[in-house]
Amino acid sequence: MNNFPKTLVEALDKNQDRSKTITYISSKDLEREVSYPDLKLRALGLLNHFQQKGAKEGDELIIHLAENEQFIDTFWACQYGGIVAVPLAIGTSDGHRQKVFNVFEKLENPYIATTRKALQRLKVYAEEQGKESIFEQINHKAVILDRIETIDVLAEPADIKPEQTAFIQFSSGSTGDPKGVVLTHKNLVTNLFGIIECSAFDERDSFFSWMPLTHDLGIIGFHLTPLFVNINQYMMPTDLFVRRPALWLEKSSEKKATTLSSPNFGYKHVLKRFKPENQDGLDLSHVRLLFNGAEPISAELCREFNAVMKPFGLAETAMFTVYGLAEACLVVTFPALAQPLSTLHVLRSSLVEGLPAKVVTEASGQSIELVRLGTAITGTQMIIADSAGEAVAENVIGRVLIKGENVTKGYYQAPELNEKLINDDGWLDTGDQGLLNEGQLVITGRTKDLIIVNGQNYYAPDLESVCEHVDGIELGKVVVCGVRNAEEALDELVVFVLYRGELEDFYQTTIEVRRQLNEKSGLDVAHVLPIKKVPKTTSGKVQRFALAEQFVEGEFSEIIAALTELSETQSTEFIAAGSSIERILLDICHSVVADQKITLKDNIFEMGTSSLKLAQIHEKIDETYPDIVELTDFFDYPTIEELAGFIAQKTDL
Amino acid sequence: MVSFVPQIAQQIPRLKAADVHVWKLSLQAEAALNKYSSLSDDEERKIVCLKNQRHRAYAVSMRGQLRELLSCYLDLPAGDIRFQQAAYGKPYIVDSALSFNISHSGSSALVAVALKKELGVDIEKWRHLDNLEGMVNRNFSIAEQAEWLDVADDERMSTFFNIWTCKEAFIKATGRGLGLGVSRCGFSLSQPNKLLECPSEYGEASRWSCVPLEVGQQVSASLMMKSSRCEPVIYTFDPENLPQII
Repeated sequence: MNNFPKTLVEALDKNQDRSKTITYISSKDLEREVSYPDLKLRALGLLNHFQQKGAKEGDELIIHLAENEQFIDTFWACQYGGIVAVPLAIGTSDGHRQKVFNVFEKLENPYIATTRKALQRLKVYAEEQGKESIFEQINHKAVILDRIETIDVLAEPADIKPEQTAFIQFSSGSTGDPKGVVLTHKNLVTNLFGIIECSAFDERDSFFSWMPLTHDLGIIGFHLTPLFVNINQYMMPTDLFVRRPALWLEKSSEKKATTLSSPNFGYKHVLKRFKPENQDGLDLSHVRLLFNGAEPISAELCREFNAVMKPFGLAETAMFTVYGLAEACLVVTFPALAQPLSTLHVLRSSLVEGLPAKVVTEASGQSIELVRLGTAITGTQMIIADSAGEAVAENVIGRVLIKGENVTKGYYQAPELNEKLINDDGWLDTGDQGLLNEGQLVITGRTKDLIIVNGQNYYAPDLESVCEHVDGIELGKVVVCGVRNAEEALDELVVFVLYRGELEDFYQTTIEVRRQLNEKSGLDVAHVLPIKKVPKTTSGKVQRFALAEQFVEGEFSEIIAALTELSETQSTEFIAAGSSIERILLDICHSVVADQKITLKDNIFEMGTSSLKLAQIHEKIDETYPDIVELTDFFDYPTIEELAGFIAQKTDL
Repeated sequence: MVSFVPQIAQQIPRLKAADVHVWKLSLQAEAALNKYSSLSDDEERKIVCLKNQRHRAYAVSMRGQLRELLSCYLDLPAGDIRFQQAAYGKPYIVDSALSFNISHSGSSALVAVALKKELGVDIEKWRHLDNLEGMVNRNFSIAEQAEWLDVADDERMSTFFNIWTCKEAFIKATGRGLGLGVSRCGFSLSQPNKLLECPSEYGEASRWSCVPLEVGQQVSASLMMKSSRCEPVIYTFDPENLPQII
């Protein structure tokens, strides 16, 4: 790695070829190209503005920007100025805004690059939360990018050393005390060297990404990697991918990109919306590597994706199942290149830490399929160890530990946490559980309180504190778990609440917990379940794993069935009590408005019912009770109860 | 010179007398209520009443994007726009000559913007209706029902939805709503669907323009405006790249 750049800025400095570009795609027909040499000029121009605001080498700058182009320019302005970049997602929930405030307070001398709109949202949040004084500080140190008109004046770049911090990656979605992974130039350069060597990237490759730049797979994997190879890269906004997942593949085909990536959920999202019959021109034969990481990987989904994309030329060996984490910069293991998906089946009951997993040759109801993720890349070491830190034998389940120049020296200002996570020999505990099989890493589960939904990390204790806002739920009496739904190939959120009363009275709690989590964190909850006891370790730590296991084993099936029944009877008991006309009207309304539960007292106009649906309901009522109800009578009798009364009166029934 | 242009904003010409802009919006099924801080208490109250999570998300996304779009025309922060309702519930913008009308079907939405007050738009995705003939008998005018007899079986669904969106756009344009009685306005069943008859309080039928909008496959959409000339321009709204009105 002698000729390899020692710092990020050295890499960009080397890219003098103006034909090598970043293409920012903002819609189907709108894109903008910026060459690497121009990126440097833009970064230096922007750095001048940051310096005008007072930011100096060693200060931090929060990147709170939604636009990819603004984000990248700002990121490089930081690198050239020796300012520590701190990317924080814009997001939509209060959790995202709370994080900006928490991180801002935690940093030593922070600045923030953002837009008018995002700043306005922070202000509104501050007013709601009584954090006006912190907002004043943020406002005072904010560089508003959409107010900047020209970047003609270039700043003088700082002299960057490999040991300097390049950026801090704060755990995404965390709403409590945010944990920041500190990454130096040396960490990054080491991991990038390994990534490039072990994927054999060269001038024939090009990258296409929809991953958010606040995620390590976005910024490191799909921006820094191609920049270090000095090849073309394309990016589209995550929002656009969410709205139009097929556009990701269409554009990749158009650009003949060789390298793509997505976490598990993204492949699922594509398949849900993909219509092969509309994709005449799609050509995926250029795709050499399709990264699949950042989330547990479903083998079934990989096979389905391969099968659907086969007619479009996607090579079966393209799917690249990898393992990594922010603490390693990005990548820990890669499989060998140009190999088909490699999996094994193990008995579910044998997945116990410290014991060997029972590998079976035939899949059955008792086994699960796990994906092999390859071996540690150049520059990184990995072992599976027992709780004392000693390496275990092949197939024995243990903790995944990593070490190397790419691995962070620790979390930002968290000496206690660092002591716990990094042992005396310098091994960092990833919090993941796994085994080695045929020399390859296989992840079997998680030991830390991390829940991954839609590729976003959430800390269980943070979500639990959100639930505590619900009446009747106290601290320590609620447990939030991520549970793998194998059928749907996604992680679901299950909330357990300590509750010893009647199930009927618990139903209201389930509704409120769902509402709280949805409003505060934007998350949908699969189940809210009562438990009689919170399982704890001898040292008093909540055993989330034990609950998740019980759930997967089906121990809550009966309660779930009872709660479902309860939710149905809550609306059907009205029907049972109602008159025959009411029952008939309810049936009619439900036949037209199929996706909503309607009760006797619901005002149909407040339910968002369209005129056409009202006309359909009216037509059906008229078939049953000819010439009694006019469409306009709905205005005077807007509930089923009232309308039934009106019909009864007119017909003397 | 290196100029700092983070993105190319779509530049839209300012509205003149009889212009109409029609914006295509796509609604997000995941929008949480707090996605937009610009919504009024009243809007939030109405959204909370919706029982279906997806309907709530669509409504949040609709109101949020509507405010962002209108803020470009009005040069006002999205949260400062105030809406009020006229006699039969048609919403209007307080203290502004700008007129708008919205419609959505599933995740697709349209917003028509113009200076004329009598403006209505409607969009409906085609879907099977199990009582189509009954719907025609009850909601079509006598002349429309006569013409319906000649509509081929395989064109009945598209024709029904075309005419329904015309009717809906008309009752919305007048501000009277369903109370007007959809069978009291009549259109020619073949496109372009001209308004042939309407209650006299809304003027001569010939004073109204009805324009079918091409917004996708298996979708009908129509625009009504009280104006002899009406040539709407259709744009796609990108919430991450707000248009510039020049």
